[in-house]
Amino acid sequence: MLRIGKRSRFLGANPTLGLLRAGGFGIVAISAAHAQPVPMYEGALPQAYTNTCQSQSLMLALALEQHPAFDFATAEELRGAEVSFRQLVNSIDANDDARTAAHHTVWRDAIAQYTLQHFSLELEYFDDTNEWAARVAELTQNRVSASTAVATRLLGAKKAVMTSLSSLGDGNDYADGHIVSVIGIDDTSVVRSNERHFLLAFNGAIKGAGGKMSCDATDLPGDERYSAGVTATNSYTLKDWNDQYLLMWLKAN
Amino acid sequence: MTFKRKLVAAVFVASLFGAEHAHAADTISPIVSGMVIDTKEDLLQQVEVRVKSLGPGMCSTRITFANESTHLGAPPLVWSNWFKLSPAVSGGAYSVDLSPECDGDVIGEIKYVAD
Repeated sequence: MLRIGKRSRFLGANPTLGLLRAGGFGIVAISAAHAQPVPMYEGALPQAYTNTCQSQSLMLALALEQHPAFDFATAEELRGAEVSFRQLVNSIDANDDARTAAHHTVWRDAIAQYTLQHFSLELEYFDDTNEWAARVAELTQNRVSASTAVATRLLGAKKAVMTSLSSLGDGNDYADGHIVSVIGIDDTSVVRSNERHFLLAFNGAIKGAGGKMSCDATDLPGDERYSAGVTATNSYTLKDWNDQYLLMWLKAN
Repeated sequence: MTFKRKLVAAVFVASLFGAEHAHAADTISPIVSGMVIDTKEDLLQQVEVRVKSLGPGMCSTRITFANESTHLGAPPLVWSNWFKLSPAVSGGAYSVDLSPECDGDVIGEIKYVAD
């Protein structure tokens, strides 16, 4: 699902977009280097539970790293990794009186254990949204605009980084914060404090779309509450962590 | 009891058994050596594991669960089939260890009905 924010309304009249849509590239995003499909657009599953956004986002980011042991190529494989990884987060939480499953450093420890140190989760915090956006662009290697966003759908994302949002697009408010995977951003202009950079983000908890209308035996709570897809918008609110904005990314060791 | 009634009764009992297991959702977790899992009370179950080698070749891997060791072959970069561990256990806390017996890394997952 390519959800269009207010700036991207212009895309509707773009003949290139129409051609690409008609070409049927919507099932999966193909990452260019290994032709490894990573489910992000149509066919993507929402996060399994209401509290597993971090696990889904981290496993999506891990899949894009193209390590052959963690190449979650289908939505079901990604779901399995999300649920399994969350168990690891829960076990760290259960054995640590000082931290909970919501602490960013717990996720960092879980990634180290899950990947046997092959990857580390880097945690960065920014005072300024322009600096945050520049770093996102540097890491994702994907400077996008409303008119070029569809290229990511065709060619695939190179890398996903994670941040916490309080809102993303119309009707998607997350008072306690919500981790999404950012796969591209337009950092080419400096924005004022009340403006945001246009970005592409995979959201595993899109509200209001009704979730699934059918019920399968394997459904989990997230299937009934959310849908999932890539949102293209400049309408979002970065979660404020003590006046700082979070950026997480996976580093191959 | 006629054969037909026995058959109906057997099917009924079997359906109850199946229903009970349908409600007992499996928990799948990465194996971290030294971890302890809490299995469901009043349920005799066989815990299952699967392994994956991160290296280029098959890696013999020792899994120790409830003081019993089992050797599994971890295939390179793909999951092995799920393997049922002995002994079967009922509710309790059990430690799990995973030790590769090769130079490479092996990851594992464990599947059980949690408490």
